[in-house]
Amino acid sequence: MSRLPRLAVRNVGRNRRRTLITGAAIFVCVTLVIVLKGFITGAQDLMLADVVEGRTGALQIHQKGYVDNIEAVPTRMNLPYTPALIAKIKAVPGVKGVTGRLQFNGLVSNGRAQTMFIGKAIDVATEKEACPRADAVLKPGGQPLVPLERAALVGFELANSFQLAPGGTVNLLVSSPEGRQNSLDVKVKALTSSSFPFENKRVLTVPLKTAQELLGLDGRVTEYAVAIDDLNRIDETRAALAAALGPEFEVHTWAELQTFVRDIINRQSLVMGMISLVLFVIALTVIANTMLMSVFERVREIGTLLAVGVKRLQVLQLFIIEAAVLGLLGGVAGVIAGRLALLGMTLKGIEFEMPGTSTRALLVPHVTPGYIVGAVVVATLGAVLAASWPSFRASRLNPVDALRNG
Amino acid sequence: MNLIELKGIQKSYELGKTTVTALRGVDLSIAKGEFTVITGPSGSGKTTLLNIIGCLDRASAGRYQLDGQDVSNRDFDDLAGVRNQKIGFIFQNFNLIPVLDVAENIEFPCAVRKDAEKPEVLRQKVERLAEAVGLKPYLHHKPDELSGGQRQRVAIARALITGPALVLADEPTANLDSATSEQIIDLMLALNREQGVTFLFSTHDARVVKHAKRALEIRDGVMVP
Ligand SMILES: Nc1ncnc2c1ncn2[C@@H]1O[C@H](COP(=O)(O)OP(=O)(O)OP(=O)(O)O)[C@@H](O)[C@H]1O
Ligand SMILES: [Mg+2]
Repeated sequence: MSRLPRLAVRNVGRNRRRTLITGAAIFVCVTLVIVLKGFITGAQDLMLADVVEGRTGALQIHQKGYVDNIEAVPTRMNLPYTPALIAKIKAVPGVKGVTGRLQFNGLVSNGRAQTMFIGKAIDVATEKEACPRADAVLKPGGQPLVPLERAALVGFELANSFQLAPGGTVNLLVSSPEGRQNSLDVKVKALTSSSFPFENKRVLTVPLKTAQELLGLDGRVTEYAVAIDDLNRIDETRAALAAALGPEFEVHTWAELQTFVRDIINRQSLVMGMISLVLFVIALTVIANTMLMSVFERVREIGTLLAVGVKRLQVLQLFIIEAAVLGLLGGVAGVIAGRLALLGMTLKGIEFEMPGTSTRALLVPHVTPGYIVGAVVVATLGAVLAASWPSFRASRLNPVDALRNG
Repeated sequence: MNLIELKGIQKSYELGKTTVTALRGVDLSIAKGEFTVITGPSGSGKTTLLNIIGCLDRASAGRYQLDGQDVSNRDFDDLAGVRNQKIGFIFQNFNLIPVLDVAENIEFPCAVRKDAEKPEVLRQKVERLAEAVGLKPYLHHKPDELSGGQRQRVAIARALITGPALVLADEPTANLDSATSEQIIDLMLALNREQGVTFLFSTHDARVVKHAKRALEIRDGVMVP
């Protein structure tokens, strides 16, 4: 075995200042990328948890065609809510929990004024099986819903403008799927506040039974929300569910239903990608520059190598290995520093304000082991890429000129 | 058969529109075990000739046989093995590798081979050579901790480690004071005498010529008869 690679490793330590500058460039870029990625992943997890575990569930089942008409809140497109169907859904591999809901709309009135509302009817007993974090945030003085009560939680802004308070009564007026008008007085149990302003102004939450009575939809729901074991295998579970249920049903993922959350996440990932790219290019430029300087400084040495019978390809390897070692060291150091920085921030805990509200959540920045390994690999390969032109130049030197030099 | 056989070697460089002719038909034969000095004024073509003989450069015309092989028209990388195994180089400015210590510099031409010997075996060879050139106590010094004469001794040992058929030295004493020059010449003469190493070296210095068994002169790219 040739011992030329050892020379490459030695050369990394030869010009300390230059190695430090290059190493630092790689180090800083990798650290930044790791910290940034940790933050974005943490923020995305929060958003995802808010949506998947708090609102939609991972998957939703509707009657075929429902989602195309979702703006109209079509109560005529409903499904049976039976133990048999629930059991069938739960039997699909990957499904963790399921609940039924009725989405409807109508007019809410306090006797003097009337306004449009969106009704969300939940199965109080099973809602958390599908959305473990579905707890509505209740204003002080309120009480949670109880399954069979004719009661409602009212968005606090709607409640304020209608002078509603816990203990009061409100009248709901809806059209049944057949077009029959029906109205019901329900008790206000609590005022809710949500991270979506729209929910504060428009939404009433009622027990499933109340909505079924109001709409004449006994034993029916408009949607099933489903929790699954592994979000990374959501497409698999969705396909299994769709296959088990048949063509009268449609199954959608949270991302299809909450397109704006999906778009935010995608946009963040894109911005992250662009920042990483810019940092990558900066690091490459620094490395290419250092390596070129290194080649110019060592012209005579390269001449000597060629004179003692080192092949041109070996000279190329020498510089490539040197760059790879630099990239690897800088990358590993950067990854370690980035992880430590994230760890420090996690220990302190970062309070994160959900957009548009005063709801606070704890952001836990983190990166996957795969991403860390990837960062080191990219740093190393990037260094090699940046060094390829200088290394090629070095390997093509004319030995006679190189030795004459100086 | 002669170790080196040069016939009608010419070398010219294109410099823009003008052509500089460094060698204009050199004939030269060197036998195994010879100790030959080439003198000549600056610009006469000594370095050019040595580079061609060392397979670092290619003649524009003429034939060159090294140890029975015609190497005139072989490609540079193709000759890497020839340079490594048959030729040792000693340079005016030493050209040691600064990050390597003395022992590593000496073993370098052997260590870069694909089929390099085991480090222990090589180290024994290095120690024997270091002994011969008087560097035994300095094996773990870096080149910048050595004097010029010591550095040139390292270069000589490096040139000899492969057991080459020919050692080429281009003005090996030009950067040394006269006392050190004498010692270096004596060392090369001793190696020639005791180990039969073939030396070909160039110099400006008339005083070192008197030691040589065979002295040639080159002028304007031709050998002076
Ligand atoms: N790469 C080159 N390009 C152009 N001309 C060159 C080149 N190398 C050498 N020459 C020319 O060839 C001639 C011979 O040069 P060479 O270096 O062989 O002389 P030398 O005898 O070694 O001189 P010195 O004693 O100064 O080292 C000179 O005129 C020189 O200018
Ligand atoms: Mg010269």
